[in-house]
Amino acid sequence: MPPFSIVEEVCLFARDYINVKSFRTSLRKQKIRQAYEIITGKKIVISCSTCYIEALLEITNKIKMATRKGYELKRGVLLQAFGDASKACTNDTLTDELAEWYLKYYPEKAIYFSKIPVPVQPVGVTPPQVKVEPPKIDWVGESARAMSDVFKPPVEKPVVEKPIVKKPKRTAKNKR
Amino acid sequence: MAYFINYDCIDKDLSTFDPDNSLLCTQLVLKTLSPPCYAFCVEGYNFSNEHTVAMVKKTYQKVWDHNFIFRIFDNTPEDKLWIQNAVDSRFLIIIENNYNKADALLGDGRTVFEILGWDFGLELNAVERNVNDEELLGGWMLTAGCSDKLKESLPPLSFFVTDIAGTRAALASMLAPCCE
Repeated sequence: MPPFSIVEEVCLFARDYINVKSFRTSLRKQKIRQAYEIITGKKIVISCSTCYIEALLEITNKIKMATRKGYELKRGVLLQAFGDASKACTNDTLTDELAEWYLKYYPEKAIYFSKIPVPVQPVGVTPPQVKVEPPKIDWVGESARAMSDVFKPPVEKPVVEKPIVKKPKRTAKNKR
Repeated sequence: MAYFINYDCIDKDLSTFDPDNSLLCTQLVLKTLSPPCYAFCVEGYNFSNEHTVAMVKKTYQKVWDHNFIFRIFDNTPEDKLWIQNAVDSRFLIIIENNYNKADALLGDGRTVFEILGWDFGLELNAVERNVNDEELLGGWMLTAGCSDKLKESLPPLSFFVTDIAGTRAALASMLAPCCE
């Protein structure tokens, strides 16, 4: 597990820090610096007056992205693992890791889940550093002609057969 | 403190009992329905919530009568709406006792929570309001209990999930947002 305790602490006082000036103590600023470094891997820039607030917003936004995928337990259920009290959880304390752990080692407990997210299929989104080039095809020459032949099927004219009409024979009755 | 749960919200298939003692409920699970199922809290004041249980001898069998008497110290339109909804409902009640027997072997807190009306649910049997009542000061007194004919087959169930902290956590996960 990543060291989230300080990040959580920062998230807890974030609202007060932003709204109330007296909450902006040096101790809290130090905690914001540490949390920012944990979350982003970068050092905070302290050149402006609102840098700490911007850093706080960045932290809270990133934490929101890392929240639960959508596992939900039915109300009243307390999941427990034999011999490991730290794994006990209700819907209020359920995390993605715990839910996946339970579904892996205790698949029979899936009946206690009211919501299990469907695994998302990877969508073909190309990262910005990858350049997609069109396929190299010799459109001129034989391949192009071959392609054009493929895309233009020969048009066949429908053969219309003429019906054979027999002329009635002239008989004595027909003669008038 | 008492918690009211709509009778239809109880998932009896997933709720579990101690294999050696059918009077000990070890997990109470609510169904996933829309609108969502919750436990609604009724907070007492100076022992204003009362509970009685009595065995009733009928012609062919002996059954149990669960009763819960509680008071509302107000008379707002919201209270009246709540009472009217409760009059038309059937519900389970989880009561919290003050008595907490210490038990080093089986765990503390096995006497704290009890479930009333597991078999058929309880209903409001009496609702009274006396404007001149000195004690209630014009509030409401409500009596929930079994119906006249269908009584419970067992005494109130004990509710205990592993330990008292686990039981409280399980209860907290059922609570309606207005109770948190």
